[in-house]
Amino acid sequence: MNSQVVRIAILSSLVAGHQHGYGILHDISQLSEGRLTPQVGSLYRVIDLLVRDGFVEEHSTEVVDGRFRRYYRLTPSGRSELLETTATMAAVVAHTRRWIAYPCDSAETAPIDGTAI
Amino acid sequence: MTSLEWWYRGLMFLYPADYRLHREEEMIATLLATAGNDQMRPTAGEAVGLLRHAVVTRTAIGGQAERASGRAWAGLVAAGGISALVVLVVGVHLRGEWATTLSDWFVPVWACISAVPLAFVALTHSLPRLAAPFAAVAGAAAIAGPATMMAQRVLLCSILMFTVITCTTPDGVPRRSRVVAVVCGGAAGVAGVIRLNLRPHGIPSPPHLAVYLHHTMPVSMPVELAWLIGAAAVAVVGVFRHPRFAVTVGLLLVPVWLSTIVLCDRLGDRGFNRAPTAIVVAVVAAMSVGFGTLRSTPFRRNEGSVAPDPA
Repeated sequence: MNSQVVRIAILSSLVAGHQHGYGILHDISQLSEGRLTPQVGSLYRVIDLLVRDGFVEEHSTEVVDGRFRRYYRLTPSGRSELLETTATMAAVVAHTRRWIAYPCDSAETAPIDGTAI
Repeated sequence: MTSLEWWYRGLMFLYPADYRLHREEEMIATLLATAGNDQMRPTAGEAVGLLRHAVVTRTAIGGQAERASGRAWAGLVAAGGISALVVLVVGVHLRGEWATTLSDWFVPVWACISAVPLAFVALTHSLPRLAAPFAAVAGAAAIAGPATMMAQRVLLCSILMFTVITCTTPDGVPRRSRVVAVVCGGAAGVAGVIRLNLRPHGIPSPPHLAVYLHHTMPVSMPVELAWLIGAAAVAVVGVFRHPRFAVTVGLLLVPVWLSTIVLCDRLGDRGFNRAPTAIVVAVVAAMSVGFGTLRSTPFRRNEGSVAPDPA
């Protein structure tokens, strides 16, 4: 579960443009409001998978303060993967919130209008 | 170089050399950037995270391009486990009731037979098309053996090996090769069992599968211990979240456990040795972990990689 969220968070971090490893970690912490702080090993494990699956690609490298940085960026298929997954997650979250607030609604499958949340 | 960087670089040695060449500097920079100001050593979480990633990378799960070196490494570990299992099973039996009746050539023959799965996995990892021929050769070897109780053990070991191997080979092996391997191995095993039952060569035909399994597997350990270890092996796999292999292991162990329960009274004096049995189970557990890490990539990822690009 956690690595799935990290996966989405990495893709989200790269939506605005290319980013390096530490920058991605910083973005993940920010967009999860500090709830998600993956280890460096976990980060690169997920990045490896995303690169392998063609959702992310290596963009450029540079040396800052004597330290090596490699930048990653989203590919078109990575962008569509992100759109698809966030749409699914948004639907699940919306229904879950509604069902938590109004448990008797859970038997129905009425569409969410956005105002009931 | 600071003390912390020295520690991080030490941990990076867990990774394969080619991965270090590509990623070490970048990862060290990220690790140092995330470290606390007064941090002198890697935290336990960092070390575990790196260790886990290194294991996954060495088994080429998370590699950028399915590196052949890692895959072969994992395959050889898995195949070595299977071969050791076979050799140990045979060793247990050779020291038991058959020790006085077998001639010396059985040992090298057994060694060759146990090498078959090793070669099978090693070659199919790099040359998937060889999966089917190897399955056929091993099956033929099982059938061509003497129609004795020993041959029955060869057959059943072969069937078990084919089941495990074909259920756990990496996704890199084409589906068709896997299906052919299962069909060849299974057909060879079934044909051999039928042949043995039709021509028992003076040996009473075992009444049902549980007895076959009991003759094949070292189940002389206490029933409770067998359950405990078997459950632990499946749990280890569960930790790595590999339902497919967990199911395979569970299905293979259930008849053994059941036969133990049903037949332990009748077959209690067969000369089984408990110590080798414990080693065999340890090897099975090691195989579980090996296969577990080997298969730690969900299948969905591979399907996702071939999804059409909407652009």
